[in-house]
Amino acid sequence: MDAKKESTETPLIRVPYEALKRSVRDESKALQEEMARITQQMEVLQQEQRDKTIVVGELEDVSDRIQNLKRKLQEREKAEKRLLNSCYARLDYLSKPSSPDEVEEFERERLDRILVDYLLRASLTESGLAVLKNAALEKLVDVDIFLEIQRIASTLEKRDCGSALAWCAKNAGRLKKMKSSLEFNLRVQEFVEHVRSGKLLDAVQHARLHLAPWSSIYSKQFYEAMGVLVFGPGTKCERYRKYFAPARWDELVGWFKHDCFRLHSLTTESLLSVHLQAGLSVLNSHRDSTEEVNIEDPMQLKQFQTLAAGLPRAKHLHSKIRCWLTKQVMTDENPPLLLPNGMVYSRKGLESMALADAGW
Amino acid sequence: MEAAREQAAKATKRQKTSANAVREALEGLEKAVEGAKRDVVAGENVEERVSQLAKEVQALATDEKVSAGQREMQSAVAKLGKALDKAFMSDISKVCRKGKQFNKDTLQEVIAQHFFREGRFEEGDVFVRETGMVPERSLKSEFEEMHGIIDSIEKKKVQPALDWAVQHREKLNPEGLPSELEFKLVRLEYIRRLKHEGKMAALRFARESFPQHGVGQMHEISKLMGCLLYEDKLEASPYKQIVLDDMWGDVRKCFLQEYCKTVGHSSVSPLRVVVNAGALALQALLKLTTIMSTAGLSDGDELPVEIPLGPQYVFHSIFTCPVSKEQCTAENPPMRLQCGHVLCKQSIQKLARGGARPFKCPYCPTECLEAKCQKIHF
Repeated sequence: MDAKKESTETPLIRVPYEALKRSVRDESKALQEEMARITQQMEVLQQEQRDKTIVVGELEDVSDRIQNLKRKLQEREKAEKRLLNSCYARLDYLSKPSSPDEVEEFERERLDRILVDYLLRASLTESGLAVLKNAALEKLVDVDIFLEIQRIASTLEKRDCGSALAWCAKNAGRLKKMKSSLEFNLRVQEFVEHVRSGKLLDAVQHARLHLAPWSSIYSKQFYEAMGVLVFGPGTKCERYRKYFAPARWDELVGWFKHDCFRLHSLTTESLLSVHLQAGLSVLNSHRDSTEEVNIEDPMQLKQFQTLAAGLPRAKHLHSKIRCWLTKQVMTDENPPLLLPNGMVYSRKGLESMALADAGW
Repeated sequence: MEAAREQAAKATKRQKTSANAVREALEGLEKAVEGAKRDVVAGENVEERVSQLAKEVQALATDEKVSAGQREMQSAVAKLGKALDKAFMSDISKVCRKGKQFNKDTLQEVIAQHFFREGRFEEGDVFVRETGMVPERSLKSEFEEMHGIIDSIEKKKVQPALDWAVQHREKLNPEGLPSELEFKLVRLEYIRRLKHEGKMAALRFARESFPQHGVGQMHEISKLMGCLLYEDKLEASPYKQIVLDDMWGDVRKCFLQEYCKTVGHSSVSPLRVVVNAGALALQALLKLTTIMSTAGLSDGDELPVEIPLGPQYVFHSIFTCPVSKEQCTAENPPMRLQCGHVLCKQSIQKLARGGARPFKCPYCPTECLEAKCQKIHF
């Protein structure tokens, strides 16, 4: 592992780090705010209260506050310690491989990590957990985050926006910073469901309460939603029909997952997608149908050709010639030699052929 | 990376310090409040006691240790962040082409086949079940036999592999003689008998099994026969290398490769090959996206730069014409000029300009005729 090169294992470290950064900042804020409140309470007490019972009551209240604060901060500190340990352990893990055996082991684990990431994102939870357990990757995959996302996503798949909206509320500030339209779209879908079941009055009330506040930011979509009310579920007009289609719910699940990943500093595309797109591009090159097929080449398999559709092919500015005899790439030490019939083989290949046939 | 690790260690220390400072301050606060409460209940002057408490609270709330601890903690975390920025690439999903979706069925097939090929039957079964894919597409049965035999090799049992090797003799060695794999297996069995059953048993076995390998393996056989002299003391003999070598590991690898070759599969899971290649190329590709700043990788058909991966990823010959910088194809094959230099056909045609006149090779000033250029194959 070249320590000078930048590592591509970014999400592995970003997830615990960003969570840590946020926690430290929130802790600092919470501490300051609570201290300010207590100080102010003391001032009020100092200036106004003389009555013994009231004072005692107030002091007990302050005592409770302090206890609360202590407990909350302790929990935070435990979490921060865990995150710091995770950061350190992961950095350690990434800087270890040096010998070829270690590198091979690392690459094997990497593929497993990539698969777990894909499986958990694709809601194939059982498979994902099976691979996770067998490869003992619990410390290197943020399972909790994926499971939480899956929990809420499955309620969405059952056409219930409740949990997803609760999640939006909890993370409202950060979603706003991200300019996320998720909450709006969830509300629109609830509205559509009211319309679908014929409860038009409910729909209008819902719109007044939950859609109107977004009307200035998403005015186009807002008016489209109003159009849905007018056209109704039986409409053949494509623009409004799409809101009633089952595919709409799939889209919502996709948007929800997308925002979740962003919030947690995970990549929006799966690690498998990233590595496959890179690998397929770099291995794919123009092939001759007449050329002999190398079974070790993944790109000779139809499946991989399908997967590579639409991806750019590799560029080769330098020739690489593989000797048909030795199956090795020719180099300066093992140069290509031309036979009179136009075939080219490497020197080593011809030499060993000559040896085997005793000089010819 | 090192720097980041150090920063993480530093941040851990600061966190401890900060946490301690905060805890002390809060405990002090608690005590002060409790103390004041007790005194007031006990009958002390309320006004004075409260005044005193207010001063104590003020002091603790603005405790320098606490605020310093918080500041240092935040600074340590920020420094860690900077170290991470330096050590890691920023957003690896930039490499993904916008709108590219993998065909779900194909991808699932590939993953299932990967599990079974690597002998992970449990995970494979769970995956096939959970995705609801057609089980036959997972090629499980093809790899079951292979892994059954590998299992027995790992348990140091030679027979199943040997049976297989004998059965597939023709495929393994087109000349009809026993294959190298077969010999390796026989050799292992011979050594086992020598160690556990004594030299007579080993000799008997050798008489039965070695002769047919005589043609290609005489050298090795003579070494093995020499071992008979040292039956108990192989480790101290001139043949000690035989016991030290990881023969079982070697046989396992050899069997895997031969098996895969006979059924027409690659010896390494293709998914693994592609992902490893991707990981190698990832950095270069990411740097490309920052330079190009278009959506995802190049919009064109071909990557704009070459990304060398090393000889183990060269699966077929690629000839690039040094003049046109294009890859040669069947329609545009490499041709050798009379001087020995090789160009692609189209470049030669362009240089010759259709005439029967000779043209100059771009590398050496030899004159060549188009008609005399020879098509070459790799």
